[in-house]
Parts: sequence; C-alpha cells; structure tokens
Amino acid sequence: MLIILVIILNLIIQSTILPYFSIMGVVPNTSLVLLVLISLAKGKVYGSVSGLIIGMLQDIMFSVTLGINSLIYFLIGYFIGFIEDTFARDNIINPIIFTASSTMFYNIVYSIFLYFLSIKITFTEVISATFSVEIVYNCLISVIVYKLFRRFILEPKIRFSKR
Amino acid sequence: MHFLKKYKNRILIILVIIIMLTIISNTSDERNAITIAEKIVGNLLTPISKVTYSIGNNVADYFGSVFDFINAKEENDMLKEHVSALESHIRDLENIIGKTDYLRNEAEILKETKHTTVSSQIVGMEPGNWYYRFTIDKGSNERIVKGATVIQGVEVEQGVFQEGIVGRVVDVGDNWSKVISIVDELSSVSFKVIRTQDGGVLSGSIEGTVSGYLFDNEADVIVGDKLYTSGLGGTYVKDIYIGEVSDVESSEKELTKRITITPAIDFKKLYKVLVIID
Repeated sequence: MLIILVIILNLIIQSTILPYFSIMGVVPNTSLVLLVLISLAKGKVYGSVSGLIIGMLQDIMFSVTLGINSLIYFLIGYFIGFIEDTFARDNIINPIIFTASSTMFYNIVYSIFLYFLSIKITFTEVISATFSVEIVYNCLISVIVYKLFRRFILEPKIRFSKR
Repeated sequence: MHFLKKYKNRILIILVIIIMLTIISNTSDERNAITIAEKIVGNLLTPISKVTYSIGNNVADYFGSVFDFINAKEENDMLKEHVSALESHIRDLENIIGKTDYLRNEAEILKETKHTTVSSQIVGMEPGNWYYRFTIDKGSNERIVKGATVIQGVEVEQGVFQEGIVGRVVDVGDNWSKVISIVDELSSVSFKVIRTQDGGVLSGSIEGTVSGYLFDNEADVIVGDKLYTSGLGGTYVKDIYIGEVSDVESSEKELTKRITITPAIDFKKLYKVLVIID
C-alpha cells in the first residue's frame, strides 16, 4: 500500500515539477530510479508488479500507445529482482550499476519499439539517447535516495517471526 | 502438472509479455475512444496534478535559473550588453507596463479571434525525453472533442496579435485531455507561406525542431517568411500562425525544397492554452 502511494506521488511530482529541473534538456526518470530501488529491496515479485503499475499509470496519463512503458518496467523490475540475490546487500555501488544499466536498457528498448511502430528514428539518435546525461542524472538521484532511505530500503533478509 | 509447477515463473513472465505486446499493437493506431480504465485514472489524477503543477511553476520561478549554470558565462556577457540598451527603453515601457505580460496576449487574442475557444491550464508534461506532449485540465465537459486545435496568443509584430498554433487534442476525458504539440515526432502540419501562398507539409522531430518541405520545388521562399496553417486535410483549423522560416535548403536529388522553422510558441514555457471548440 505504501509502495503504491509512493508510486503515485512520484508520478505526479515527475510530471509536474521535475521538467523545470532539467539539465542540458534532459529530465531525470525518477520512476525508473524508484523501480530499481523497489526491486533491489523487495525482490522480483514486488519488482515486476510495481514495474507494471508504474508503467501502466505513466502510459495511461500521457501516451497514446498503451503498454510500452509497462512492458519495459516489468522486465527491468523482474531482472533486477532476479539478479539482486547474487549481489552484496548493503553496497552503494548496487544502485549505481543497476540504475545506469536499466536507464540504457530502457532507452534502447524504447527506441526499438519506436522503430517498430514506424516512427522514423535514426541510429545516431538512438545512440545519443542511450548514452546521454540522463544516466548520470538518474544515478545521482538514485544514490541520494538510497542514502536517505537506507533504513527503509534494507530490511533484514531472514525473518524469525511470521508476517 | 509437474511441468506447470517447474516452469510457473517463466510461463507467467511470457504471458505478461504477450498481453503487453497485444495491448501495444491494439493501441498503437489512432483510437476513437479512450478506455474506461484510462478515464478513471485520468479523472482521479488530473485535479491533483493541477495543484502540483502550479506549485512547480512557482518553485521554478525561484530556482529555475540556478539550473542553467552551464550557460551562465555566455549569458552574462550577452545580458550586460542588453542592460544598457534596455535601460533607455524602460521609460517607454512604463507607459504600457500594464499590458506587457502574457495575459495581454491572451486577452487580445480572445477579442480578435473568430473561433469559440476554451481557456485551459496545463497540468502535466509527459515524463521522459522522447515526446512533447502534455495534459490539460478541460475535457468533454467543456465540449472539447478529439482532434480540436490548440492555440495560444502570440505577438507577431509590435501590436499585432495572432493565434499561434500549439498542437491538437488526441484524447479526451471528462475533465482532462491529452495534447500533442507540433514539435512532436508524430504530428504533421500542412502550411502555406503567407507571402506567396505556396503550400507544404511540416513535421516535428525527436530533437524538438520543426522542419518540412514545399510541394513546389521552385517555390519562392526565403528566411523570415511567415507560415500559416492551410487547413488541408482538416487536421488543423486554417489560418493559424505557425512561425518563421529559419533555414531553406534545396536538394536537387529529391526535387523538394526543405525548410526549417522557428515556432512562434516557446514550448518549454507553456502554462495556459486555448482550445478551439467550434
């Protein structure tokens, strides 16, 4: 429940206030950052489901074609939740690596979809969109959020009582 | 059953992917009606985003310039030059100070326009860097229909006001609508050059510039020509100001003349727009 509230709050802030804080014309994708942190903390089930929800809300609010964002976010959430087990838990490198790679993944898959929806897009545009300042920007936000909410994000892995 | 149990996760993932792909392919064309789910979410979220967007506007007034620090040096030099020139203008401007803000444009255009319009506020921009789309706070309750042209008042010359084109409505809910602006990749505008009446087609691009070509490759078009919508195809209302030609490039191979234009509207600073409803 708390996660859903955070998701909605993030979507609203992202679409209303964040466009004013763009650096070199690039707006940070805080939904993606949020998703990465959720899947790092909660594993693949939470990750993929909240990916679906975030993507669907974003699609419904803003784009004509439904489903692209939901599919990408779903895959990102699942994969990060899947790999997360093999990484050390309390490590500041984790959010950086995952945010950077999922930002690139997002932009690459998005441009593939654009191509197949017959929107003209050149290879150089894809490259420049993939390796843009957005990666740095997202990673920065991700690290800051991770530092701030570390206590909430890192729950103990072994539980002795029933939920 | 054993098989199902073993591969439960993978089957679920593949199912979700298939469902999503179906949704994408079903909604990728221009649709006539929005779905119930879209309507509910839109109706719920629009009032909230309206409030936060206004807050964002106010916050940005204070902090916005801080984030432009990369261009600060260049801008500083340029501004110093401007200050001296502007100081001599101040006395003249004090005469008309009550008319200098954005509202004057809107008031003038409301007085002069032949169309019936609805004034509406922008409540959200598409997150991400691919598109130039936004949502506004008026919908079918205010008789806005899908395909309606969205405009804003612009001052073409000193004291001359025109309707400047912003984009068109692509989806309508009860109290909200989605708008695609003309700098978006997906939108094309048919235009005419006001001086020679030559026609052509413009479209946006991923980078946010607007360029297009003329139907007649021997057409006489020069930098600085003013473009208006021609109304061909019925997508946009005709005779609405688009912008000025900023670059002309003729290519022998394609037998067309390509032009790049500067739109009259600053799409990064939209706050209120007018929607034509007749």
